[in-house]
Amino acid sequence: MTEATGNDRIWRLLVVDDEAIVGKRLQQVFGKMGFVVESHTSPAVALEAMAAQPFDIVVTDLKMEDIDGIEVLSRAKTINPAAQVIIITGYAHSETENEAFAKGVFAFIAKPFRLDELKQVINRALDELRQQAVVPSAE
Amino acid sequence: MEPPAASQFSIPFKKFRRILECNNAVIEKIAEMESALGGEYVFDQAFLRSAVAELGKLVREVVYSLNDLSDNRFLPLYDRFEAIHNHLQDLVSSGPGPYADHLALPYYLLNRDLDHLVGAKNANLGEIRNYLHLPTPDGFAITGAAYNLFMEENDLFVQIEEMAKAVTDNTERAARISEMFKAAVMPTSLQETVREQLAVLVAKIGSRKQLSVRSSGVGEDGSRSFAGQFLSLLPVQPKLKNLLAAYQQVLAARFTAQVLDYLGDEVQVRAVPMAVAVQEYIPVRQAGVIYTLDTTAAQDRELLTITATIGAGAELVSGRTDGDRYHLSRQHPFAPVRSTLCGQTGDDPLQIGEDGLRRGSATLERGFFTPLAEAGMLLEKAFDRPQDIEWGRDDNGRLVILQSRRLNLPPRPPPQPGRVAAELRQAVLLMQGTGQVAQLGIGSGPVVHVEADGDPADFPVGGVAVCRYASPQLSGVVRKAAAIITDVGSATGHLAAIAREYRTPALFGTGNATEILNEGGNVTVDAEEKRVYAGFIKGLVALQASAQDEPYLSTPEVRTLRRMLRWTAPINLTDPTATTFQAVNCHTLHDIIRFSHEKAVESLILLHSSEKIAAGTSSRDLQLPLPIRIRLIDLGGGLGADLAPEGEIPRQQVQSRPFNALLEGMLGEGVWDREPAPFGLRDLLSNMSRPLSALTNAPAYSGDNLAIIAENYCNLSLRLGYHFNVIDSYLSADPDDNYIYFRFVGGFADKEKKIRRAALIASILNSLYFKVEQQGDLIVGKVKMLDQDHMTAILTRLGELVGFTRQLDVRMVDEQAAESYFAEFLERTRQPFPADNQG
Repeated sequence: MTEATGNDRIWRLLVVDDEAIVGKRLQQVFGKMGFVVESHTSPAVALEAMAAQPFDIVVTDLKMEDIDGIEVLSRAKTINPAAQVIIITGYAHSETENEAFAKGVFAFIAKPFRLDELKQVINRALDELRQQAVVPSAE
Repeated sequence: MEPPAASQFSIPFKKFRRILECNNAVIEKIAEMESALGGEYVFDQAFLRSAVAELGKLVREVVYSLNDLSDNRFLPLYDRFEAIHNHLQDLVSSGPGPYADHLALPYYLLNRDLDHLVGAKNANLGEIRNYLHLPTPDGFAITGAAYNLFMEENDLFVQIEEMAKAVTDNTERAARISEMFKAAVMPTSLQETVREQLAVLVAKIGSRKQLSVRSSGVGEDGSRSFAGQFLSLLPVQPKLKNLLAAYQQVLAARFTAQVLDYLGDEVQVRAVPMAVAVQEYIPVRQAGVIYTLDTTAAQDRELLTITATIGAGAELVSGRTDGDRYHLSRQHPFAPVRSTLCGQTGDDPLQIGEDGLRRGSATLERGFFTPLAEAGMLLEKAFDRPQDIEWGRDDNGRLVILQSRRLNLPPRPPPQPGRVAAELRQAVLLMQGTGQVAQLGIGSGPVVHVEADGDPADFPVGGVAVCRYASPQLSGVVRKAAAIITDVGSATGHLAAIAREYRTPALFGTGNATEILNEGGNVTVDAEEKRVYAGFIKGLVALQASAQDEPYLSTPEVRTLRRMLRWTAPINLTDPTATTFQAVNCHTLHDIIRFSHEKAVESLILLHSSEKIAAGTSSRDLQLPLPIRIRLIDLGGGLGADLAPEGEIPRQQVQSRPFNALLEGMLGEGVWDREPAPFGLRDLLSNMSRPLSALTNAPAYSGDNLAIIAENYCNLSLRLGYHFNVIDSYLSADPDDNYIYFRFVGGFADKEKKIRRAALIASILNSLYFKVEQQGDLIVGKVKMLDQDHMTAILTRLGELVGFTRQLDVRMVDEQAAESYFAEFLERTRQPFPADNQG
């Protein structure tokens, strides 16, 4: 069972998509799983929110006006190097994909996607986060 | 190299196959869109745009291919396609969609997604009437476009704006505007439209019924409720003059001082276009309001409130009178918790008793609470949020819904995610991760096991329905259920569509819900997560309720998808024998492909059975152990690759699956010479070979047996004696594509005998899963969409039947023998088929 709480702290999830429907949907689903979910249709506002308080997991659309998903990825990683960033997109060129992987993207998901797919990816991202959290304390 | 004739054939055949492929792709796309609407996918605008583009391309190709195949017999289909596709393109680019320029729309066309044209009051009533099937007054809407036309033609927008610059007092403004309206003239086209709609309505309800003319402002009931701001007039005489006068009054009331005050400093002349509802006036003996959620009750004690008064409810709604007030539990059986009676008893007030109280003065009897509460909960579920419902009770005691709109509630803060997750962690999880989401949402209530043939009237509103199959017969249950879970069924079936209509959270195909979920136990279903919890999970329900500012299901994308599906998914053309089965009656893309599929099969058969095809074709004979000649044309894959270039084609070189199955039956041992002959065949079939050879050697028929085959296909035109049989079949791994078409006509003996025999054949075909139509001695049988093994078995039996009929024709000793023979045949066909369950 997916858990965003439990023994560890409450994880923070950011959704950036210029279409409100995606954030609304994900907010419903991941709220139930115990995440604190913030969703923004404006990437600029999302970056401000990130700067104010970092997020553990960022789900971002790739193609947006002004600021694209790659930029969101870079900023998220700068602010919180441990952050796991998932890019959702209808189409991605391999160049974009390579660039994203170079910048440390956790996964790509193609729209439209099943929620199960995204949940699985977010579960893996959570595992990653938990491991990162465990390693320093073991040293 | 292919013989020329074969390549000539292969073009129409390729077209035919392409039509099938496109049909399947369209059906898959529709299923995907329906799944997205149900909540299976997270989608966005790009998904909607690509869906329209893809569907357009596929259906256009179907229409083109069909016309190509049929010498352009179905040209009107292009117009239908273009019209529907234009609607879809308009919808997906956020346009107003279909009907945008209509001045009036009858209620049977309305649904919730037309509120931008006819106002929410009309649109919701249409939805309630046409989809939720609750009693409502019949009528028509005069649209926002009609209002704009009226205002433009009388130059009122400009005049009012000019006046408002000079005059700032709203009372003075209202008086001036009222004068302008008095001087205004009803546009001719609008008069004409209203006249037509009125005539249709009066024809339906009768000329003795009066009308109600009510405001239905576009944008009313949106972010601002405008509750009680506009005008309703009733009763109005059902005459054009009276109706138009009332209409004009309702329009004018859009600009009363009160409304102007409500709208603020700006006149906002173009805001809230005034659409109007013209309805049958239903005299009521009781009326009132339902609040599906009591706004005054404490949050942990959720109640439903009904108010009721004697006579029409207008006084009650406007606050001029106090009705009885009943507070009920929101759970079935909706037990009354408390009530406030005002002692109103109509014409004859009850005497005050010795204790100073009036007796028996409740307006409603308790038995009427249930239908009211049920309607309330149904509407709340369907419209995503608590409702404010006007109801009436007509002279027959029947409940009529007069209006339903969102109940404005103070926003509730969403529960803390951590707390919901904690509550869920402690909850007992009964089911998880199985099944498909047919409609997302959260529903909670007692488990009720149901059977498809049970009476939906027995099902308690708000129960969680648990059943074995997602049978379409359960639609009455889905309507009332808080959620539905089935063992078997898919998110793209018929019942799933119904669940989406009623917004009933639905989880289909879980495998074992009927075993796990015990009758009567309370559960909470979270369809989205595919989870069922024991008991009532408050946090989940609260989470759902807190999203009420704009629920997911009301987001623009979901609305667009729902509107698109209305022009895509439903099938109206179901009966190919109906006179309405015509291109011009295709109203959705599904109609078009359904129609095209039927007509493509028909066209192919026409093409292949026409005499000109048989003439001059370069074909080769099939080597048969019978004195009968069948010529073969291979369209591709129907014959072995290592076939010798000339001479008769050996049987074992036939690779066509359907043709092989037919041959298997036609040449079967039992058909020709089984010894000892079963069913008393010996007599019947004695000297069989002589008449047969005589028959096939007859010049009039030689060469007329023709089989056009491909790997998955065969079209056999078989003339035997006076018979002309056509068997057309396509077999593939996908059952949706598979079909067998069998046409049997033929002269033998006198008419009575022919018809008797035809009836016998029809009953045999019936037993083989054929859908049979019989007209005189013409029989047309069709079987579709069974799996390949099943179809193969049927074809083999059909081959046997063909053999039998031939022999009967040759040696039709007497009718009685023939009948007993067929009876034996019927017995044999009752042997089980592989996968013997009819789809």
